[in-house]
Amino acid sequence: MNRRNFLAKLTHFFSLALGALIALPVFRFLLESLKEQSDSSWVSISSADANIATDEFVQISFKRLVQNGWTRQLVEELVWVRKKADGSFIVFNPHCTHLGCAFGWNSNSKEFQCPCHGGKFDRDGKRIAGPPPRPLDRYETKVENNVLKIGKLMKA
Amino acid sequence: MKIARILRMPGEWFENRLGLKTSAQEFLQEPLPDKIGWAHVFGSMLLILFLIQLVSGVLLSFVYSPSPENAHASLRYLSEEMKGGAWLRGIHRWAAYLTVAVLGLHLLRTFVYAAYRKPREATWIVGVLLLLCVLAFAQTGFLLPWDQMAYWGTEVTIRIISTAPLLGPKIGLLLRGGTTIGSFTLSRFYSLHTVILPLITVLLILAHLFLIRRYGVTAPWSNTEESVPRNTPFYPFQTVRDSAAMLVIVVIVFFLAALLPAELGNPADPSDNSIVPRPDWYFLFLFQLLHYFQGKWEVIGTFVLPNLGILLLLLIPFIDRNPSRKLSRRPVAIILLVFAICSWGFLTYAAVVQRPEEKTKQSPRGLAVSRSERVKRPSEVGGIYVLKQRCLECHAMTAAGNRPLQILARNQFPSGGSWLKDHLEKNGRDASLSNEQVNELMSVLQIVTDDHPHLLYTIPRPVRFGAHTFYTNFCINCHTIDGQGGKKGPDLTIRPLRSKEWHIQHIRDPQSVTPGSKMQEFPDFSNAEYSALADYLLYLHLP
Repeated sequence: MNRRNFLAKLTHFFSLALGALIALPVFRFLLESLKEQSDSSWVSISSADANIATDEFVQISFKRLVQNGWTRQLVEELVWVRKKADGSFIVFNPHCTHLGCAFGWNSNSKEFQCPCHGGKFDRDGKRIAGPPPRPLDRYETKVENNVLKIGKLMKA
Repeated sequence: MKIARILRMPGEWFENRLGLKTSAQEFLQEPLPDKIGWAHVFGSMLLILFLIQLVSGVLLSFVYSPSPENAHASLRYLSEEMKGGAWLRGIHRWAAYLTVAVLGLHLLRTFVYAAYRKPREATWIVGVLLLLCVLAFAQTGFLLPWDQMAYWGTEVTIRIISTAPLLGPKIGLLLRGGTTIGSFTLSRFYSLHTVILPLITVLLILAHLFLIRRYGVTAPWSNTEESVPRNTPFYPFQTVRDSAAMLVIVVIVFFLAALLPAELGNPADPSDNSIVPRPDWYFLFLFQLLHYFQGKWEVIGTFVLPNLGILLLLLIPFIDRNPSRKLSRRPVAIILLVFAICSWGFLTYAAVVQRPEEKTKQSPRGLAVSRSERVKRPSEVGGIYVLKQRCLECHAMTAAGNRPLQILARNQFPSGGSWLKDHLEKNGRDASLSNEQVNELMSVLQIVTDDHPHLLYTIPRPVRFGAHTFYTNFCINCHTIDGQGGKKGPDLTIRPLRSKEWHIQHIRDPQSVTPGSKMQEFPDFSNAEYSALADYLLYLHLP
């Protein structure tokens, strides 16, 4: 290898090292930002013996303390709640699993109907019609000291 | 063989259309005069530093929020909550410092080699404009952290700009966006720092590079251009030095950033005038200059001399008519150089030596409402706990109360701690007051008898007890809250929000939630005290 080739190789090596070095903080930062942060803390949404008719859906709004970057905000959220005959609860996230539109409960036909693209779900969240790819998303639920709490969002 | 040909096709297509390879080769084969060497790597170093600033600046802007309410909080979040955030800020700051330093060397080298002479005057002028851009970057970036030093330093800068004759006051107004530094100042500086200056700088860099290519690199120490053989191609003989130097400077920046991350002071507080603003190291000489020109001569230091300096720099290629490039034949240039370096060195040294003692805050002091809309200091919040315990059985805080004895009000304020102690020993039921309790009472009584006792009414009981615990135990020795307390630990006034359980666990055993924490363990508080301390900390962090 002559001097010229050696210096050329050295330039290539230095340039590669430079590129790698500068990429280091960039990837470190971007990877950190790509981490999905799921909020798995339990939130109280209602009193468990509140006036909820068995096997009928009601919409309940509650406030969740959301950490948004360096601020914390109380954000109002909605859920669809059904009390089962055995006293346990089913809580659905109010967004259609197709493209996230808000759906409504049709108490005559006993089904959830999404106005955007005609998605329909039955009372257990199973898809009946339309384009949705999966059943409705549910929250984990528990009753503690007579308070209904929801936890992690479970996607089927 | 066929596959290889097909694989090459897209490359050939692009090469035929764009000719990038050909122009890159032309660029790389540029013949350089002999004797080009390590002294010529500063330009490349500046280029890589600028690239680092672009990249790290974009990443910073992913988090930074340019408003007075959020700027400081967002950077604190970046530095303390995000992994690698402190490093990122450190990189941006150290690359800035080193840009100024390397720029100085680059300027020095160009001057020593007299590389600014005909036909390269324009290259030099563009270079000086780039220098001004770098200084403008430094000055606008200085405000963005929105800490005390940023706020008060920028106040001084804008005042200096405003002293310029004719347009000065108008430019000051435009920069500040009003009569005081606020939202508009911050958003304008942000826009300058992240949009306007980068655009101008990129254009100037392109012009600088274009001009360097057009006229070639000056042959060192030779008076004529023609006599110097040019048979060293740029690649690889100079690129190897350039890339090595670039690598070294990047490694230095990254190491310094990891070792000494950028500091973040307390959030800007317009009502706190205890701050003595000081510029970063590269502006210290200008700062020191102001000491020598006062009164009506001030404008000499703030406007005339700096601008004369810039003008001189710009005009050097036209003033310098000396035909020789050898330093030994350029006495005027040598004198000028020595004078410039000595005066810069002297002024910077003088500024470092004369660093004033930081004013200590009077503590405890009465509450000025402009300082904070809420009472936060441990002695004040804790004071109301002691006040309720010891005083309110007999006294009322306002005239509205119907307590049997005196109203705690202005003009009836006890004149000193010993008086208070005596008074309580004579009249109080529980006679013994510790010194801390006396201090707490003294500081809270100042608020009670001030115009703003209502600020105390809304503080919940656990918070009062927590502050009392904080003040009378070990916490205050290390932690500052709203300007009161020791400096060993972090200031607790502004912190990212955490849960109560986190704080309790952190006080009990800091290592368990913050590995590597320097704080000692406090396993012996009662449960009520832990809970109250956490309540007090959360109270400090309320929006």
